[in-house]
Amino acid sequence: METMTGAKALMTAMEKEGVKQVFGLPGGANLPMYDEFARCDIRHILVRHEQSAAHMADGFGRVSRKAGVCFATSGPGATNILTGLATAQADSAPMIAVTGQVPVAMIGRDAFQESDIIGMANPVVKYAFQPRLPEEVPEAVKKGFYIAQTGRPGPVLLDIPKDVQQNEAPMDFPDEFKIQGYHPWNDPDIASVQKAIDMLLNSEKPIILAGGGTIISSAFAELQAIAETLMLPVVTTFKGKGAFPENHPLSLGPIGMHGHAEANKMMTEADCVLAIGTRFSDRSVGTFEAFEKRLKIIHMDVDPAEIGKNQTTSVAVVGDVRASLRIMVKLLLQRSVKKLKILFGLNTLEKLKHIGKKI
Amino acid sequence: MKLHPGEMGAAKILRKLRELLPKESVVTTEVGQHQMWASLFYDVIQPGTFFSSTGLGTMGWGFPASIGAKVARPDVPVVDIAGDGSFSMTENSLATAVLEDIPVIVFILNNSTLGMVAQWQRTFYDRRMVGVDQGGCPDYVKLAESYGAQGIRAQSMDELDKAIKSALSSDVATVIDIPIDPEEDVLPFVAPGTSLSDMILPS
Repeated sequence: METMTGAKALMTAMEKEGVKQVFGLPGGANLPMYDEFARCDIRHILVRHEQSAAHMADGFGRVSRKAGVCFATSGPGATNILTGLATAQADSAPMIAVTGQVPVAMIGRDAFQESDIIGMANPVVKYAFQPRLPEEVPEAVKKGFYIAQTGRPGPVLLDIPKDVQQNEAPMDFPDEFKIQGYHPWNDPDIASVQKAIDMLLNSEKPIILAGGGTIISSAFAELQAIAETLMLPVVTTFKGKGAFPENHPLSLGPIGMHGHAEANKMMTEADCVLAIGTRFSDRSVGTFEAFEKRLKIIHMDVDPAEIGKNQTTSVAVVGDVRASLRIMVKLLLQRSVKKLKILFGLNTLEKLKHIGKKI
Repeated sequence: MKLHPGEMGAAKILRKLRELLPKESVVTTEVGQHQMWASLFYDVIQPGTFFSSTGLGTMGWGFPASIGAKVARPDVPVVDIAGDGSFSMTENSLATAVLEDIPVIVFILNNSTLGMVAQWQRTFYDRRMVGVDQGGCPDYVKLAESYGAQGIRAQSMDELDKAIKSALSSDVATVIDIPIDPEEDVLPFVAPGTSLSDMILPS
C-alpha cells in the first residue's frame, strides 16, 4: 500500500474512475485538492460561481451518462452548489460533488466558512459521504461513483474535511466493495412483461408514454421496435422529449402543461398506456385523478419507489427499462405467429423479426 | 391568448434553428417560455440529444449545462435555447466558455420579460404585471463581446439564418440575441390543477 495524502488519494481514485475533467472553484478548505491538479492529468475547468460548476457537471453527466464532477470549497462554496444538486436529483442525473470542509476538530464550532453541507444536502442527493480519516477516501470515491451511476442515477456529495485532505495514510484502492441495502438493479419479472403484452393487445386504444428513464437507459431501439411492431402512437413526458424521433410517423411529441395538442388529446382518449421510466409528474399528467380515470397503466421503472406513487398501476415491471423492453420484444417474437399476422399483418411481423435480430 | 402573428414568432425561429442544426447536435434549455416553445417547435430527430431542467425547473441551468455537454461531446454543435431572464442567472459562465475554449451557442429568445410569469399574470391575474420587466438590460451582444465571445443580434429571419450559420462555424462561444414580442403566449396550455382534456388552445 502506498502512503499518500487524502487529497492525492481523491485524485487517484477519480482517475481510476475515468474522470478527465473537474468543474470547480477553489477556496481555503479545498486547496489541498487543488494543489493536486498541478500533479495529475485531470483537467480543471474554472467557473465564476459554484452553482454553474454543478450544472456543468450535470450537463456532462446527462450527455455522457458518466458522473460529471464538480469541486467547491466549504461554507458558501458548498451552499452555492445546493441548487445544482437538487436539479440533478430531480432529473436523475449522475453527478459527484466534492466539497472542502473545515478540519474535523473544527466541525460544529461555527468555524470560518463552515456549513453543515451534509445536513443541508441530504434531502437533495442520492447519497452523501464525509470521510473522517484519509484512508476512507478511496472507498468513498468508489462507492460514490457506483451509487451515482447505477440504478436510478443521481448526485452524490463527498464532503472532505481539510485535515483529511492534508494528512497521509497508507492507501488501499479496493475494486470490490459492499453497500448494505443498496440493490440498484432488479431483473425484470418476465410474467409481468407477459401480462403487459396481454393488456396492450386486448385494449382498444393503447399508447406509449416514454419518460426520461427511456433516455437514461438508452432504450431508443427497443422503444422504436415495440412502437413499430404494435403500431402504437408514442407520446413522451417533457423529460422524455426525444426518446423517440419526433419526425417519426408514430410520434406525437410531449404531453403536459405545454404539450402538443395532438399528444394531450390522444393521451386522454387512450384506454391503456405503456409508461416507460416516468414518475407521472403533475406537469406531465395534470390532475392525477383525471389522468388515471378509465386508463389501464403498465408502468416500467428502475425505481420501485415510483410504482403507485402518483398513479394507480395495473401492471408494474420493475427493472432497467431497456432490459424490460428487450424482454417484451423477445416475448412478442415468441407469440403465436398466426395471431400476430391477423393483428398486425405480415409486413410488421417480418419487421419485428428483423428488429429482434438486431437488438 | 395569442401566438405571434408576424415573422419573428417563436415557432418560426425554432423551426429555423432545427432546419440549420445537424441532427446529432445537443440542445439544452433554460426554464420558461422559450423552454416550452422548444418543446413544441424544436423536433428532436436523433434520440437522446435534448436536455432540460424538467423536474426542479432551474432557471440558469441550460447555459452551464451546455458547457458540460460540449465537454462530453466536443464533436457536435451544442446549443442552449435560452430566454433573457434565465440566461442572466448564469451568464458569467461566458468566462468559462471563452477561457476554456468551449464554443457553445446561446440562442436567446429575448422578450426582455420573465415571460412565463408574465403569461400567468396576463392569464390568471387580470394583466397586473408585477416584477417581470427586464427593461432591455443588459445588451447581450455587448455582454458577449465583453467576455471575448461572439455576439450577434438577429432581427429578421434572414439575419437569424446568417447568425446561426456564423455560430456553427465559430471557434468561440456565440450569443445570438433574438428580440421577440413580449406578449406572445405559449400555447396550448393546461392550467395547473386541471386535466389534460382542459387544454387552452390558441384563439
